[in-house]
Amino acid sequence: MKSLAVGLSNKILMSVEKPARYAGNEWNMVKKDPKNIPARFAFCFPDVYEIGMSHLGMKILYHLINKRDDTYCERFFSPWTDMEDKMRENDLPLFSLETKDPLNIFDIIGFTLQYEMSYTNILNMLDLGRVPVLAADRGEEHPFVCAGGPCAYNPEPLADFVDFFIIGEGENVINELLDRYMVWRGSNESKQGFLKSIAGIEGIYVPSLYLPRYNGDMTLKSFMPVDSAFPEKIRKRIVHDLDTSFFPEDVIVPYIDIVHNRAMLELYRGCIRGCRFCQAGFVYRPVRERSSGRLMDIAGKTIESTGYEEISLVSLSTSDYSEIEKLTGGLVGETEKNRVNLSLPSLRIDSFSLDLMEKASKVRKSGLTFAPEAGTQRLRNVINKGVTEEDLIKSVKMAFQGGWNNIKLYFMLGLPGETMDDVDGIVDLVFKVLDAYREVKGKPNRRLNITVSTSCFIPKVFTPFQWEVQDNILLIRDKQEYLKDRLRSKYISYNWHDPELSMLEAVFARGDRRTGKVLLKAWKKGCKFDAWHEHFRYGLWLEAFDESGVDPAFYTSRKRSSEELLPWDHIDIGVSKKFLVKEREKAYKGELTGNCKDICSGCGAAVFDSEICR
Amino acid sequence: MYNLRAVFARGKEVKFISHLDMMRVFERALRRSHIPVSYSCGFNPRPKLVFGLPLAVGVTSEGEYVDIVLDEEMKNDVFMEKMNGSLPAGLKILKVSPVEGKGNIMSSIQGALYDLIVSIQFGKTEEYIKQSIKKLISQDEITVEKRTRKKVGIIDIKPMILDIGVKILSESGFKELEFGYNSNMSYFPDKLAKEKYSDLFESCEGTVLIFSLLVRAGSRGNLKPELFAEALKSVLGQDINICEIHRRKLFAD
Ligand code: SF4
Repeated sequence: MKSLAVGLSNKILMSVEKPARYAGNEWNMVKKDPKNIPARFAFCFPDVYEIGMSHLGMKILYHLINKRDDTYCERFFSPWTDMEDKMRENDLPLFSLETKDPLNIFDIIGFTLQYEMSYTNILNMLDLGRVPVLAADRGEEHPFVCAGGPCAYNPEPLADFVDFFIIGEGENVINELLDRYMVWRGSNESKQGFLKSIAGIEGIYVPSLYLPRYNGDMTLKSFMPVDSAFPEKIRKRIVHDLDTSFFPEDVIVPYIDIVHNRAMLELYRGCIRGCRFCQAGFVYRPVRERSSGRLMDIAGKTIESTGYEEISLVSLSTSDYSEIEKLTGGLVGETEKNRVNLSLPSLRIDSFSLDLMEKASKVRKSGLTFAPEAGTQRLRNVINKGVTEEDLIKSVKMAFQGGWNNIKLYFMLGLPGETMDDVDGIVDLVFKVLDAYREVKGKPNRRLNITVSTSCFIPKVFTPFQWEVQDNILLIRDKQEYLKDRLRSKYISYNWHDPELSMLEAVFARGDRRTGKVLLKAWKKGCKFDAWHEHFRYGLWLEAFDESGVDPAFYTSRKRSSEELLPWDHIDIGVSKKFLVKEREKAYKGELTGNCKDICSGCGAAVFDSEICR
Repeated sequence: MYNLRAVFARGKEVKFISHLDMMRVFERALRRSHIPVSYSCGFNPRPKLVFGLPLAVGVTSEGEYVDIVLDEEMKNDVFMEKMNGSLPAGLKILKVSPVEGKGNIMSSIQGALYDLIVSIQFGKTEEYIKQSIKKLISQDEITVEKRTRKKVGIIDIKPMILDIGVKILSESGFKELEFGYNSNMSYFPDKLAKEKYSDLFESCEGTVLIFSLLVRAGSRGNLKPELFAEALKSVLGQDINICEIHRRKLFAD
């Protein structure tokens, strides 16, 4: 059999930035002979190599799928624009890093959806891979296109492009799916037949089997399966027991520096807290922890098989892990012995954690991050962020005393109910942090740096704020200017997010199927890598909205009533809509909701029968 | 404390990685193979590894040096076997020997022998190409533009070229051009594998030239083969395509 591999000449690779992005052959890359493998799975990450390779979910699924003898899972990333130009110029299709085979000869293409602003890259990758971007244009000879990941909780903007979605955690469902695929392969059924056959698997959503109808005011009237044989609601899948579930120890070790260039140790999934703006806090419910024994085992084996010089704990909030003291106690010894650094992100700063950081890493004291999110206690109560000013000041004092000079403070602008008093509150809080430094250390030295970052609030699906309004661009700009004027000090630096980008993100976060038209138009106009400042072309996006007859304000600036039928209501994350409505009302009253460890607030995720909900 | 010097090869599988990345590859391979490498003291301890001469992105080699300090003695062949089990495809230790004395490999590198394979688009006759090379080599000065991050300068590379040999690749094999540079080009690659020809024929368009360049290398003057290619470009009056750069050998004093 002649190799199908795409010929990459030296000339092309030597003319692009970081050619190792496209070369593959890393340590622990899975090698199989495609001739002996019936099914080929193209795992696509719609961003550059350095970002995709830093992503834990991709590592898990890559190795999980490759454990099967009947499937070869290979990696695809978005080529950077310099490489894309060369590929188009030389008529080279998108290829895998493993075999360099083109995308269109694969059987199943799977995209991971990590952020909305990577959607144009999905279309671009399909196109570069010579696969028609619209599902309706693909025939029996084309691969299936599927997608999963956090953005799949609102799959509708991508419904025209994707054949089926995987809702929730992929570990178990991907195997069920591939088993079905093997059976289908041996049959004479059409592709449509396969899609119908998997529509009943829990966690699989086939958008072409559902039909939305709209009211005169553009809101959704009904959303029903085309046949009663298909489920009305698609419940997400989760892994129940992290100790027995698959976790890769022999992960790929890249040659070039990537964003997270280290071994990752996933402590738990979900979050016990319910910050009302945070999608991860709801969609990953309920919390499921891995035991410290299993984690120690994974850590040892991973270091052994990768040789990584650093290992990092991964979770939404490290300090909330029940066995944190036991685990870190064991890890510090183990890592020291192997001369491996232990990195401890998202720790709550207290005497235990400062001491731990001192022990864990011999390197210089880099920045410490705090996320009060809002400037006043009133607004922090609205968002259910249970941090007080007193907590924060106490922690930063401890950090300053411990020799840290670099403090990062994260806030959000445009939270529901935010007034200028709350924006003023940010200024107050920042200067109180500076005062705290003076109090414990005296006159600030040159190295002191307080970095303040504000992002723009984006209402996300399956949060108590999923019905809320996003501040318009002008209002956000005003608030940013206001902060710029007031956060003037040589010890303070202020960063802010593009409100234009946040506006777009908000459209697709809560978009319905009609927003897919905009996406297609924008991509055709040349939009890609939208999350990269240098490639973001807002003007083209506005043209795309205009030409598609879609008003972005309908999605961003319209307050929905709790009764409205939402485009993602057919997805079931376990957490009930009733609970979210209740949380919305509590937010208006500034009432707090306790965390899952202290008290169960009956969110509905108990349907998954996890230990924490019992 | 035990000092080792290893000679290693870097194949095309890993030729696109930078020097910094190479160091990390070795560090990780050492950790995977449980070789007791020594670490520097201080705030940020680093494994004691010194490379002879950085290898540029895109260049392959069969003669790189690395000095490694170990905490305890280890048999040379044991070291080699362990490392070769832990290095990724494309990197291979060829030889290991103990280091005598205190010499630092980095400061003792003096010269390097490269194969530079270029192709010249159709449109120029073999005779023209030959005459151009002849002219280039016989000049008293060979000046090229050298770009660094900050500035562009004109330098004369002739003093850094110690010897040159050239062959032209044709369907029937390759033939040596009758002129050398200094005297005898004894380093000339006398055999290039058959597969390599066909590879070159497939990947390079036009006339393929194989240069053997013996040049100064190391901290006291270092000529990159790309600069020689630049000079060639100007004398030919047209663009050339670099198909391959391969470092055959490093010379230490
Ligand atoms: S059911 Fe209770 S314990 Fe379980 S996730 Fe929901 S609030 Fe938390």
